Amino acid sequence: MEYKYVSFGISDYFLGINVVLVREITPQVNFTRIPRAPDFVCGLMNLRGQIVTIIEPGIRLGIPPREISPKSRCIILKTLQEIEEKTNGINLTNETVNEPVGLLVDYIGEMVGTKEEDIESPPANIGEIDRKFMKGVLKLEDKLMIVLNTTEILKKPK
Amino acid sequence: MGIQDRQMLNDLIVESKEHLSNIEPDLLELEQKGSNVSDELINRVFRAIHSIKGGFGFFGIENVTRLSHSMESVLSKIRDKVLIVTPDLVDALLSGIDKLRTLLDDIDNADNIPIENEISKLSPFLESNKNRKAEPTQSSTNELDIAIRKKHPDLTDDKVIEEIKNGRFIYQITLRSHSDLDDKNLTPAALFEEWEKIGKILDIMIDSDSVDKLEGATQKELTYSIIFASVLEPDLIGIALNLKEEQIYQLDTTSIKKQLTKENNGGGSQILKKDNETTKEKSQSDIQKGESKIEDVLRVKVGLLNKLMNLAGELVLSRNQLLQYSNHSIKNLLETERILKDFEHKVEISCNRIFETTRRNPTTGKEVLAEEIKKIKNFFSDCFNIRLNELPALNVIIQNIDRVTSMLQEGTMQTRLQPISVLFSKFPRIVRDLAKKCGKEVELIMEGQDVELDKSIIELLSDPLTHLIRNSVDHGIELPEKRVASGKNKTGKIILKAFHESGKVHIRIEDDGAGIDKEKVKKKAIEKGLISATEAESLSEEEIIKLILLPGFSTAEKVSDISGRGVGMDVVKTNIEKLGGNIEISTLLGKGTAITLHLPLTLAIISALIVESEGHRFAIPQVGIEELVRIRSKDITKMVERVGNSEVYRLRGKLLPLIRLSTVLGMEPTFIHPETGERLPDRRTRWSDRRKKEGDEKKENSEINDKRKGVADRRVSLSNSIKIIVLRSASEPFGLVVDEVYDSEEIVVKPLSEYLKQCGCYAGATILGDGTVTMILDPNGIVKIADLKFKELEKAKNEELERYKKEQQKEIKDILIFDNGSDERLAVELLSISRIEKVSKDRIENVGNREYLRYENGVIPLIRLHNYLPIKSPEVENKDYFFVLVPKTENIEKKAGVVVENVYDVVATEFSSLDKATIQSSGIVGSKVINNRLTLIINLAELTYDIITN
Repeated sequence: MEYKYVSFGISDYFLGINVVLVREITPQVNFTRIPRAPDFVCGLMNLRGQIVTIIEPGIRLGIPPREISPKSRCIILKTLQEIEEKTNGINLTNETVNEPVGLLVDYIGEMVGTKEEDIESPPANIGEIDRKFMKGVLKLEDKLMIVLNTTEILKKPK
Repeated sequence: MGIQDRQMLNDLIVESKEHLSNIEPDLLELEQKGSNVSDELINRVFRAIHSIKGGFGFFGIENVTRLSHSMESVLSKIRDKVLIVTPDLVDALLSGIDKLRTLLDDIDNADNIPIENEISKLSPFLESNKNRKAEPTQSSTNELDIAIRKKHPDLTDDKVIEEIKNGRFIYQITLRSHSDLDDKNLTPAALFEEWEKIGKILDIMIDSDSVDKLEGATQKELTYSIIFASVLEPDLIGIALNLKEEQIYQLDTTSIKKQLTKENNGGGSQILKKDNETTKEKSQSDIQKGESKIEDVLRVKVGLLNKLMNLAGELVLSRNQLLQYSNHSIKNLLETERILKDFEHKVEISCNRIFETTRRNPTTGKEVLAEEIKKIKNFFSDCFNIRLNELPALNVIIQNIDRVTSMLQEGTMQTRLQPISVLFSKFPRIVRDLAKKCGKEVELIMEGQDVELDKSIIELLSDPLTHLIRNSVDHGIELPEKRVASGKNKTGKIILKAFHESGKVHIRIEDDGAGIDKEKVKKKAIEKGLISATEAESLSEEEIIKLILLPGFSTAEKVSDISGRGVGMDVVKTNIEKLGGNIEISTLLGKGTAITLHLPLTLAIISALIVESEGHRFAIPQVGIEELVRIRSKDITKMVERVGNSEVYRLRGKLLPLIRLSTVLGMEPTFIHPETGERLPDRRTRWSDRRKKEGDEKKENSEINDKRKGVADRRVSLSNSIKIIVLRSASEPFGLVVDEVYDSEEIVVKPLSEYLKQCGCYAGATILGDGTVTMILDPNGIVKIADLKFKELEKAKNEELERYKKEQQKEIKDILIFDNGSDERLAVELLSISRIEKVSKDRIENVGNREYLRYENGVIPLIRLHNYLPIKSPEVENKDYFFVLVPKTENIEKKAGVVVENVYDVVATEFSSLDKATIQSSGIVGSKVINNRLTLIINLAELTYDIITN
């Protein structure tokens, strides 16, 4: 089965996320910062009247924080219902938050299409990134793409 | 069943359910008051059941009709005072109501749900009276009986008996093929199909007599005689079947019924038992099913609807005005365009003319130029003559729309609001039943039934509240004997209370029962493996009580059908959390338990005050705000007191703890630099501290210099005043200090992101008018976060009190050390002086041999200490200024200044260890070695008093 991934960059890492999870990518990166919020929560964004929680996956992965640049984008993910309506293959569990969430990334790369079997199981860690955040890795021509484990990223805070 | 029928049926179900919940409290009252009950009450119940029976009779839902018929019969006996109300009777009626509800919930399946159990409960009441009442009616029906018998309907037929058993009326209906069928274009089959909906056709006979009579007629008319069984009463059947009254005869079935009940009493019991079991199972599955059931129909007061209609009308009116306005505007614009084009054209002509004339004749050119310019000016003023005044005032229209929109919004919101009594009304019944079952005596007191809540919240609250009430009765309230033994009133009390507070709705269930045994909870939790024994040791009392909210927890020794399966509190917790609320449990062993549900204001539009702190804007729900206080910056040091690390403000004599929003939210304090306008970190810890950067001595000095030059302190400005929002939390009021207070705004509350729930201080988020996302603050959360500070405040208060006490014992006092220009050290008690004034010599006036100082608005005498005390005179007076100490005096006339040369320090000294013997003189308290110097301590008040009065 062929999958398509939206690739993006955080710091020196090149990551990918399954396209079926993505609702849209927006260049809008202005959001209200929330005092006392967990460090990986950047703030709340008004996306056409809907409040979207913007989180920085980088910090969750253990990558030091970076400044917002003109290349920065937000990947707005689908909510649980939206995913359930359209796909059956991917199941986010009850452990994940069920609300609109956006991922703040440094830049957006191209779409990467690949077969399921080409994705290799991840090593214990790549740089600062722990294995639990990776679903797998994909060797591209010149670099390695880490397939992000969204379930882990979107896990409800305890 | 057609769509229309389905619609009607649904409406009927909703209506009937309402009837049922309305009469339930009536029945309870009936039980309490017994037969003294008012006729109106009985009639109300009777009418409700009657209309249910009638309604479902039309739809042919047999079970509903049968059951309600039995209930109605019993009720009519009560009404006629034939039956005396007993608890058993009310029980039977209530179980009937319950069953009716079950039937209504599953209407398509209603006829398959057994109702015999309920009917058999009711029938004893029915029978005992039927015997009494049946006698007189018998004779009246005799005549009819004979008439019918003549036509030989066989009432002993099995089919007929079966129907009679089911409580149906048996009718004999005469139908004429000509007038009843052909004229109405009906085939017998179609007609009978219709009839089958409301009853059962048992037998159809063709009336032989009438056939004979009609023989030979051109159009053969047949007369059918039909035996029809239906639950509908004689007065309804005619309408239902669309037949004339005389076509219908009711057959008397009394004798058969009598016979039947006799049989029933003998052999029916076994069937009933079986039935009992199935209903039990059924009702359990009903409970599970019922949990997710949500009513979709809403009743709105007609008055409110009318108001909304009027508003909608007004809105349409305003829209028309606006449309008209826009039409006018467009017309005007077109007109303007035309005029401007005209203007352009005319200017062009003028230009050409000027050009032509100046080319041909330069001398006359000037005149032409002037003339043309004048013309252009005239054209120009024409352009302004567009009739703008014809337009309706836009402002008025917009104001109107603004007003109508907000009223419409408010009204629409109101339609969603329902009084919580909708929910509460079922509890008296539940409490009664449970108490009876458990053999307890419980009184339920309900308060705040008019508190209005959003419909969806009310719906979701139903189950948790029921669970909690059940718990209170089952676990909370003790058995009467036990209560008496522990010195309590025999009757337990449960208080169910709803109220608004700090923008939330709170519902409290309070009982004066046994309370929760923490040790027992701990033991059970370990037993069930919910926590380990070591974990249990480290838990606080609060945490232990919270254990009961865990799934699978139950302290009940025995699992009853009421509670003890260990799902209750878990369900409560999840449901309340679903609503975004939380649960608070407080309990006292032996005294009772109070469980408070705090429900949020979600799903609503609320008005909120927008404030700013450290550049972040927040919304505070208006409901929680008591008042706003602004302290002018020059009053800050005076009005804000400091206790320990906390600040307090004296608000009308009461201490109001101050919480800085920036501190609560952990934001770095900043200030805006007055010159550069940038936001810089602020290291002050209190308002009285001067702002300075570490190691920036120079700047500090220049600041002081600025002040001297008369430049206002930059803190002394409007924006630097302190703005306090006095909030009422669940506990006590507190002041929230913010940087800026903006307008109040109507905001739509959006649920809080799950990531932000742990922050604890937000109630939700909203989007403001300008599109920015803003957090809504939760006053209670703020208090919780700042709770430590409250405790600290108390601790500090106590500490201060203790220190003060100690000081009192030790007599530690601050003294001011100075000299009189000689090498002797002198000191006075700091508290005894009101001012230290630096005075230049030229302010001294000499009158006689006395010296006076211009001070404030008058003059005060100066005292040279060496003239009155046994001390040295000053050596050389070469300084052009000196200090004057002004002692505190009550009487302004008796003020005097004490001249001193140098002021050194303030030192705390134990007065108790003062040497009072070595140096003795009037005006001297004693001496002590302070900082390695012998210091004389002077009693300034005594001294000045002596001098002045002399």
